[in-house]
Amino acid sequence: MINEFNLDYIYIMDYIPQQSPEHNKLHTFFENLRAGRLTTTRCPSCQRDFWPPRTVCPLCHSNTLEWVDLPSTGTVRGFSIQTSGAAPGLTLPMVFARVQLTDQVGFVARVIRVDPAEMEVGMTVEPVVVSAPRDRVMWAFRPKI
Amino acid sequence: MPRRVALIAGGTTHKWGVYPGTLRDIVSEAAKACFDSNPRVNSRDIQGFIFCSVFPERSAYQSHTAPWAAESAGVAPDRIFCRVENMCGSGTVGIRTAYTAIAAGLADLVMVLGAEKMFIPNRQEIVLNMLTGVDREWEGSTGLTAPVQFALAAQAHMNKYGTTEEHLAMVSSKNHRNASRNPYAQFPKPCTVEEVLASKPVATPFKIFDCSSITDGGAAVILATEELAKDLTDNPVYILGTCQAASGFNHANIPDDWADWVILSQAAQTAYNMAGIKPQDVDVAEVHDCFSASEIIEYEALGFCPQGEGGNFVATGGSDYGGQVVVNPRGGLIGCGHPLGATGVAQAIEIFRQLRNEAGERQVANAKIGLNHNLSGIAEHHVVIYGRQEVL
Ligand SMILES: [Zn+2]
Repeated sequence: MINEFNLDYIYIMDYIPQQSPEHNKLHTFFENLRAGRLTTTRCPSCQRDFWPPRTVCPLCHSNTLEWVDLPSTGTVRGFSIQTSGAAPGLTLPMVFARVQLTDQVGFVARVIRVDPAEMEVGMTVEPVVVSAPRDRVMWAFRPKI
Repeated sequence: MPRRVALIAGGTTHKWGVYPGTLRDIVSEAAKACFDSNPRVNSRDIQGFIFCSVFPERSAYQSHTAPWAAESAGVAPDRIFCRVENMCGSGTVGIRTAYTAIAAGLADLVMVLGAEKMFIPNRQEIVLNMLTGVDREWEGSTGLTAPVQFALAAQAHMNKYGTTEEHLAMVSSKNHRNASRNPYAQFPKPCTVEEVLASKPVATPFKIFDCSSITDGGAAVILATEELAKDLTDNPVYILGTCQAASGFNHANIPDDWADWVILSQAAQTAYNMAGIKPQDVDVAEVHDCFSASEIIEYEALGFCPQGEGGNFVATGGSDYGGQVVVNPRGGLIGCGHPLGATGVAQAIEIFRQLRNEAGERQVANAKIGLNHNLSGIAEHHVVIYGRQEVL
């Protein structure tokens, strides 16, 4: 289909973020992730960490933010096992959880390499780097080993 | 002093579900249904046109859609026209936009038309389209879609208040029963609580019957000044109060406790104050049951029952015919389907019909005040309160 139009890549069908310096000012996040570090941005003057990472602090509008490492474990606050309706490239079942990493940072993420029956509120998970199409990386969590 | 605004016409496309036509066809047929509902309105007199549609760029490969849809609807707005996109709440945001223009004196007669074409030839693209409605780079990119977001809220409510999967199923069963009396509903077949519980799992704790479905559909209403409304209909339905509130977008940044929708409580309270009424005054409500649990949490945030008692409220018939407030008499999103931009407009049409005693088999006896709640996320809510002439 793509070839019928002489295209080798259709950007609007690509739901994975652009990760290179030419296309994303937050490319450092993905470089850190590739090196096994889950990071986000901190505003030194507000002493606040944000998720997702920012280019400008939403509180004081400073643009001198610094990268900080998020903790090596997080706690599951809630979860759902999805068994229908996955995006292309993802396979079911999928597990999604609210993962709390620090007082300031918690977000919804995919939990992989887990038996869905073993999911429970309060369990400890750790970040894991997964590969994505076109030589990119994405984050997920897995049960702490 | 803002001018008073009323609904004077409303109609939906005939049958929601897989629509054998284009988005343009849906727009044309929604406009026809609306004009057919009130022959006293001349389409050439329409001064404003608000088009509500979430992703025509993807599902119809068309942007620049307000004048495009106006042409298809057969109107030539000379005061205000725009497209409104606020994900699932777009229709109600469109009505609020028209209300604002009329109340401020920019226009006297405005059509609001919601239309969505969700079923497209490549079904895999449907999920990709839905990913655009969350934070695509930081959430959608992980595969997160609506069922899981609301499942997490459902689980929070169940853990905090003891709400059960049976309570969720009761919402679905009630709304399917109501939809069986609605000619345009996508799912007009009643189902029992047991059938909901036994239906296909989607995202725990939701089964397929707990979920509203994607669908194709359209709906349109016409709003007018009080003066014009009295000329153009014998039964105007007035907007008494309205509000909208949001806090955060990425789920990392919305209020922390997903069991209590405080942003909805805020929006509802402001709308009640503007209308000068209390939750107990509402006779009929169309609320956003994108998932069964949403409706339970909304009973509480809208003040229909105390915090934490939403499950008990549906179990004891509080939201059914004969109860305190009839919720989702048209069958809700669960029974009608959820054609994003059209949903809020269709909800308003049901309130319009109920308050004019034109809802046929679905009629709520002596309904005077109706509330419409439409949402675009756990922390993004839109509320409009309507009333008959006699409650002004
Ligand atoms: Zn700052």
